[in-house]
Amino acid sequence: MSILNEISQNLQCGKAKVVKELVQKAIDEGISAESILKEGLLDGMGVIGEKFKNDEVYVPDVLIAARAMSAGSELLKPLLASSGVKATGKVVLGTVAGDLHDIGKNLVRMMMEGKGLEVIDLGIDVSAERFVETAVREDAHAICCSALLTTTMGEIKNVIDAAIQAGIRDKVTIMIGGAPVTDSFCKMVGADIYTADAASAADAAVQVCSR
Amino acid sequence: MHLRAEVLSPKDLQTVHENTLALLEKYGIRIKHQEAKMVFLEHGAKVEGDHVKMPPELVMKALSSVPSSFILTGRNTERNVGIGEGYSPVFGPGAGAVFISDYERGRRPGTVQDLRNLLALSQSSKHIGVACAGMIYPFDMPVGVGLEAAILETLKISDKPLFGLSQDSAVSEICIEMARVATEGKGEHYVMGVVNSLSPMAWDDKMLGSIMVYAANNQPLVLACCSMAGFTSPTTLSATVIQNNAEIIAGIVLSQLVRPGAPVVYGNTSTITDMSTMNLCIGAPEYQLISTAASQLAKFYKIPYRSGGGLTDAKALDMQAGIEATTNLLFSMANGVNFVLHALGIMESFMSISYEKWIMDEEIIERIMRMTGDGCRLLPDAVEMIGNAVASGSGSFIDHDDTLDNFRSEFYRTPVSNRQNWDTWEKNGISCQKTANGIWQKRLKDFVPPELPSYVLKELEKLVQMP
Ligand code: B1M
Repeated sequence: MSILNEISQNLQCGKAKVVKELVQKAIDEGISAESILKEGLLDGMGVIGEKFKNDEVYVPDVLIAARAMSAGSELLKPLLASSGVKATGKVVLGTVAGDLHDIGKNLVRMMMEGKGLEVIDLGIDVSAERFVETAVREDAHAICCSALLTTTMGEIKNVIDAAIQAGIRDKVTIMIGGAPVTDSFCKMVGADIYTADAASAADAAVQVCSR
Repeated sequence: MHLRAEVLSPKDLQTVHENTLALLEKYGIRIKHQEAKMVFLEHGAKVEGDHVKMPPELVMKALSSVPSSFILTGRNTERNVGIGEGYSPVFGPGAGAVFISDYERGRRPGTVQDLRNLLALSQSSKHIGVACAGMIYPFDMPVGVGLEAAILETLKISDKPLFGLSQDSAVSEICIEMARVATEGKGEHYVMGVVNSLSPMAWDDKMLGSIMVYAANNQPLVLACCSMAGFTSPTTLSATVIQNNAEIIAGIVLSQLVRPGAPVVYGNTSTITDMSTMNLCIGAPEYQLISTAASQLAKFYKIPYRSGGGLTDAKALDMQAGIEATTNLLFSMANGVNFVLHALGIMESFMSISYEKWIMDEEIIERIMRMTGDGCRLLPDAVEMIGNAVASGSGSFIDHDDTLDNFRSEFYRTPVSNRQNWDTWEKNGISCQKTANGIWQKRLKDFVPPELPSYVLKELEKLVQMP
């Protein structure tokens, strides 16, 4: 078994420590960071992702695989940066102001990280200003808002307005979701993308970041 | 027929209790709210950063001041309900729904008209004991006064005791004030709210604010948790029960420190998490394991208990909806619940209310009441009655006094479930949905709202400030 294959296999079993060791070994053997990332780590996540879609594995399995993935990619980050390979993308994520529901949001983070995105998770009860300030500071591709209450869905509009105010509306994609949120609400409020679940949110974010 | 569901043995119960005290003493509960922290501190709790650790004596003393029952007063005092020891369970409707559905129009966002309709159905339901302002959150309420306007609608359409709103301290204040005005000093406790802990092991500022406001005003509050085993509480159910117990008790202790004797209800709607969608599974059998343990704990502490009613994760009025709603209502009623929230109408893991399911849930409750009610009454003269009837030669009981006198009370007649034969059923194009639809439509048509004195209405309208 090649070392890259071994990385992928161990990642699928969620063995973070082994993955980290193997990644280091691969680096020492002179394999390029980009190959380790794509043919090792992301390959493993791809398999897990596919199995998850087919109901063969469950969220906890995906989570520990994603942990193994980030343990490995920590080592790759400096190498990738110096060789000019850009991170897959960066998003700012949070639950809107007045809202404490974070289970869906946390799931979105897990799925996005599993796809190799850098997620800045601002937590719950996040004001419009904080979303936008962070997006500006971090030069993020997207702002991702989760809202679970009828009374806090309106906060999404405030985030959009704040993005316009800050002059970044045309540069940042605004993605939204949460149980009461719908596609028609997304259109009405002027957000860019609505997705019904965390996996499709991650897929959409990857698309956005690769534009 | 007596149903008594129990899941913890007396020894288990003691262990859960001891573990709870240890958890609260050693690890404490996460609280940021400065005022709440001060209250705990003043009463001998240790406050380390955002962790409030409470000694067992503090906890036990606070728990001992909780009343084991209380009366909730309505605008119309004939509708008052008693909640807790010695009273039969009080049912509240589905609550907090985002969407509404009915047979003709399908699923859609709820509107003010839907709230009004549900309030009329609730007022005219012989099973519902309270008027719930937060059944749905209408999308078309005027911005800025949404919540107050919903409370006003509730007080206009129903004279049952108010199950009010308690999203934060400001909402709690206004809700209590409106209920006070509406009930005109007819009783001590005139509005009940509900708050949820932020599992694992935390209470959020907003909820703490509501706890303090409801307690300070001596108004009852349900302190519940809705943890998701496998995500916000342990997968092992017994450990979830311990964590839940610690969270609820921490909230109850605060209420009693603010005002000893303030009425509270111990609530629990925690259940398992679906491991592929991470959705909360309120129709899962595990819900009743957790809820029954919680009910036993509430009884152990002599505090009224609240659980869920016709809970289901079903999206349609199908067999899943029927199985889940029935088992949940059955076990809630068997575990000695005192207050049931979401008794009627709730669907898809709390996301929507269905008009037709509301009517069907009423039938489920009636069926359970029939089974657990008077049971099989004995007759003093059964031998003679049977003997004479058979000897009379007709060979039938259809025209016998026993039938004529008793069939109406002895046989429960299902309003929705169909008992016709195939041909008639098919010819009439009957379905449960259609039957239930007819029932609620008729109830709305016949509905006459109770009177609300104009001076009360005026005062209430003043409280609902337009922006
Ligand atoms: C950026 O792009 C994206 C893309 C996709 C995105 C996305 C972002 N975010 C989510 N998604 C999507 O991906 C996920 C699937 O893969 C999905 O995420 P979800 O978050 O939808 O799904 C999760 C995986 C699982 N689902 C959940 O986590 C939510 C489940 C329900 C039951 C729920 C829970 C668990 C809780 N609650 Co709350 N709660 C309810 C919920 C009813 C429901 N069925 O949704 C709802 C939302 N709550 C409600 C209420 C009323 C409340 N809750 C409250 C509190 C709580 C708990 C603390 C108990 C707990 C939250 C725990 C936590 N840490 O998040 C209070 C409010 C607190 C506040 N200010 O926020 C309180 C006011 C109750 C009270 N009186 O205390 C109702 C909303 C009412 C309304 N119409 O607005 C409610 C519908 C239940 C009900 N009927 O009462 C998708 O939506």
